[in-house]
Amino acid sequence: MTMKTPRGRLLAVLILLLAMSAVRTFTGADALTGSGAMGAALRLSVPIGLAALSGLWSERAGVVNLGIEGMMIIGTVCGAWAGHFYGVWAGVLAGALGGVIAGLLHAVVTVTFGVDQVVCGIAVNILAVGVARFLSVIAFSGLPGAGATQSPPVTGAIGTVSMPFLAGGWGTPDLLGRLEQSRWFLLSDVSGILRGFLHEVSWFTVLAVALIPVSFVVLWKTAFGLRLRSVGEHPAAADSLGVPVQRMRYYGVLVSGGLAGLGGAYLVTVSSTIYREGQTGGRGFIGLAAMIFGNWRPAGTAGGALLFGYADALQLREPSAVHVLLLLAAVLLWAAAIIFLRRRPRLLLTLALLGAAAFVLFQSTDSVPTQLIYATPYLVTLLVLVTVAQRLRMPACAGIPYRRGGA
Amino acid sequence: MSRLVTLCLVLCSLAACTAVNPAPGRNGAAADSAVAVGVAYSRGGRGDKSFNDSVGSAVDRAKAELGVSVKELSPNSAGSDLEEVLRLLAETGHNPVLAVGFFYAQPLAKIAPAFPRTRFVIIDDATVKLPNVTNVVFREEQASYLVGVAAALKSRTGRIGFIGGVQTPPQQKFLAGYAAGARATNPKIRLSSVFMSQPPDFSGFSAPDKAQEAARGMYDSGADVVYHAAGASGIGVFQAAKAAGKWAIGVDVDQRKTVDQGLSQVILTSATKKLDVAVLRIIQEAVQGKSISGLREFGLKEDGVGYATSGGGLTDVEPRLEEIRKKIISGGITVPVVP
Amino acid sequence: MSPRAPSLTRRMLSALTAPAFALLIALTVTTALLAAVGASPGRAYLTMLDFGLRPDSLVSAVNRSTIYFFAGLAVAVAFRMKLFNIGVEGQYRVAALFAAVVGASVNLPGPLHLAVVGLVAVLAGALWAGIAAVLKVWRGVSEVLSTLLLNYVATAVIAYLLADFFAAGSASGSTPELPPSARLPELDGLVSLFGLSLPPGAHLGGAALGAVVLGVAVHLMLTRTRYGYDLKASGLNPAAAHVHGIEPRRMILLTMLVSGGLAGLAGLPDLLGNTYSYGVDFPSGAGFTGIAVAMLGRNTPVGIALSALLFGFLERSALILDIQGLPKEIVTIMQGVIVISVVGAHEVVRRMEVRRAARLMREESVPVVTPEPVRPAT
Repeated sequence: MTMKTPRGRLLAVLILLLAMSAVRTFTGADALTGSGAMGAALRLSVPIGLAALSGLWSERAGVVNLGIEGMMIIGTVCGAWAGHFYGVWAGVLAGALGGVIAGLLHAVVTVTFGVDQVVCGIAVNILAVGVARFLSVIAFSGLPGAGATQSPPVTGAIGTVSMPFLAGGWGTPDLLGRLEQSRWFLLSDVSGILRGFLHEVSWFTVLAVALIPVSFVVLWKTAFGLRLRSVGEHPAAADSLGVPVQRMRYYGVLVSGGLAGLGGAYLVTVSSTIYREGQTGGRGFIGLAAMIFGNWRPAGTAGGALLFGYADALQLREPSAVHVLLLLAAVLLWAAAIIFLRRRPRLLLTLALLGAAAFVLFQSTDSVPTQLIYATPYLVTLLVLVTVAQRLRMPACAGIPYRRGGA
Repeated sequence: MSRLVTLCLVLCSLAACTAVNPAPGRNGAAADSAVAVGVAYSRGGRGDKSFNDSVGSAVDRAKAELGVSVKELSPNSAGSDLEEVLRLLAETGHNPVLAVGFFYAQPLAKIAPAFPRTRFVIIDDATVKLPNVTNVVFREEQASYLVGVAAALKSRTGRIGFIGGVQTPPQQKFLAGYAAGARATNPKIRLSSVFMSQPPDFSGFSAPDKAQEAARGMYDSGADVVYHAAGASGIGVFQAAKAAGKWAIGVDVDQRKTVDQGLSQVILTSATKKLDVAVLRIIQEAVQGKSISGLREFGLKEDGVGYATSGGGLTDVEPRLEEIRKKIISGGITVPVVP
Repeated sequence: MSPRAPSLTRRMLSALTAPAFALLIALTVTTALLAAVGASPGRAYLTMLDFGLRPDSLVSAVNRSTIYFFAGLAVAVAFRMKLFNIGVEGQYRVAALFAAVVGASVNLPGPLHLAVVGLVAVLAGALWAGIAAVLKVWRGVSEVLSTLLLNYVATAVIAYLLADFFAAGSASGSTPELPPSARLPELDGLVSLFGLSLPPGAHLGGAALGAVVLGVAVHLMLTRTRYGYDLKASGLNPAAAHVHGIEPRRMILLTMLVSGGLAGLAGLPDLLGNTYSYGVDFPSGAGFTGIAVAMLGRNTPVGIALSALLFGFLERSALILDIQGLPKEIVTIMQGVIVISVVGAHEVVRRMEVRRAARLMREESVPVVTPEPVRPAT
């Protein structure tokens, strides 16, 4: 089975669902597929997903962006400042604008001056930490409830929406909620998962999720997107066909900055109501990881963000359910082993052994030590990377500055 | 690379110019006033609305009421210059020097002997035992025990929660006391606990969103009282409590009085710690020239920790809590510090 | 028909242009920021220089920079073959933990004890980096991803090992202290050799000497050995390197192990010269600074040494800004601006030289009788 064909993907999802509901039924760890955990997963994955999309736009245009974390940081400060004085949606806009400005710096330095993109990204991160502190001292010191490392709360809140008829929006019955309560095998699990995505979802989240298909359509189905991607794959060829390479790269990096800034704005308007130093907590880097995980494609990128968010949600909400993840891992590894039965006998053995190890760990312990639970999302991501075959291909010329004539 | 060579040459030649004039302590803070207090904050510095700010408010009061001059420093975020921060304060003539947080223990143990005439005060550490060091220790576990009792008494479901910021030794005391108090009151109580990050990842103190998700999870699975010791992340716990219509317990100060109006009604009580009172007292003693070395404990007995009663959520159980408070003071109950 | 070699003065001039340009940009930005908040830029710089050039400040800057030097070398070696090791942070902390545990549990005479501790650190760092290497060659997992994720895993594993094994029952959450035989000697004699006297309590750590030795060793490894050549070849053109018999999988494994081993050393200046134990309060973050240091130093040992010294100097000087009530964030901003502008200035100067060389070529090709167009080299 490969994940390449639609049938293969469907089968993979089905196996995953079956395994999850089997493990849920067997252990009684209802949190595994509950709408609560899924809702949390969605909320936690939005900033990561935005960071990942940010990386996608930049790298598709041929500019490696390691400065996403820094651009997010700028987004949080700007978002909190405008959010406090002009309301929460102004904060969203300002966050995105702050990110665009940080992106502009990255673009000027890497595209116009042709400076090494990795170096510049790292410098943007260092710079952003200092600038954020500087700005927050100027903007927030002396305001009630604020200080050098914290902003006052943003004014107002972004509303939430629930899907009518399915998840109880606008006073309609909560069909999925009822099915979830029924505790039927598979049916209630699917309902729980769906309800998590449809019940009390922030409008910001709706916007962020919509950006995934929008990015796909723009980058893969329009002439603009084709030109932007061509600049990432083969700038010299694009140039000879009349594509303005530098300008396209600017577009990519600016959109990238804006998306990263939006991710920062999400943190200060939806995740919490304030700016707080260190709030981004490495999400920009995790976003980059999600992008690589998703093979520089919007859907895969979103999948990577969601996977990470799910594991994070589980360890925060139900630390005890992390233990059950061991059993789930064992089941999935065995399932993968069976699928690889014919084609990759050597891999089969490794997978089966890994699965057995996970199962033995599950059987011989009652819980996972609290210190190790912290690593759940990172380990889950690593494990999935090891299991799923790697056919990653980054845009061919990402990271290489382009000068006409190669000088 | 050759550019760097030149850069360094420039710097070195500058070094040669100024090396003749090392000028230690050139700002001469000590000369201006009788007592110059040096404060070394823990990571993040002032403006954290938590630990550092409590000390900061005491320092501000000392400035206003006692007329002392104060110099405040914060270490870098990696925590690699703690020793230098202390040394700098001591050598510029500040006395006493306050080290805020247990992270200063190791650096202080090395610095203090080099400045025998400087008094050092370290907060949250009892391990550095030197003649010119005062250890200020709060018995947070005692206050946590009391709010644990309150949580167990107020819980209808028999499920309660604890949310910690970063799993460090001082944070463990909160959980240990809380769990002990709750279990002593209701042996069948079910307690779930989460620490949001592990050192040296200190993001757990600045992650209101994660605290909110953690608290949501606890409320969703039946808990009806959640206690947080997560500094600035705590606001997320209150938000979750409000959404669920259940109780939360605050920390350090009476948070019912400090959080937004909309959130205050979910706060059952707070485990308080009179850091500002203690710091002010120590500075006062230094001004008066009293010897202040050795261990200074601030527990229930010394009224250094306690629980808040504002809002009236605890009125019905207050007699019971008072009784236990007295038992802890008299030594009838010993509260563990490790969960 | 090679272009004339530029004269010595010209070379020196161009070598001077880039750093001067970079420093100018950094100073302009920070001056503007300082002025924006109403602080006197002149006073800030003078205070920084005055304080930063005190003997104890210089010693502190050097001590700090040894850590960044090791971390920077670790990043650079991997980067030479385009492997991006973001995991130095986790590697050096895992290494420091095991070095601390082993160092405290054995008792050996001085130099041998130090050697054992050092070896443990190198091995532990290499093994932790080895996980990422194995995942890359076995399953093709991008090392950027795996090293990043392994940093967090390292944090969790270290916290678990400390809590349940190595520091169980310790009030401070630290491993037992290292005996004196496992501590690095101080090099204060070296400082007095320069005619500087240190105030009591300030020491030049012995790790500085180790850094010099290691720097030379790595320089020789990169320039004089088969491995160094293979590394460069794999980085420049992996396909061609493969054709020439350089096994890429073997190179990836080996290089990640070397990088991790070097990273393992980054914890030692602190462990053996400062804290003498590993606990929850062990200084962190050097791995990330190491990335910036390596990039600023253009991945060569000399460059990394200089950029590590610069970072150490700036961080030390930041302290005095705080005590003078000046915003010390400008130092962070300065670091960022310097990284961009040094590398940027280098790029601009390089382009100027390319253009000059092209012009020279044109000029020299004038006397040639046949007016053939010059074909661009491919």
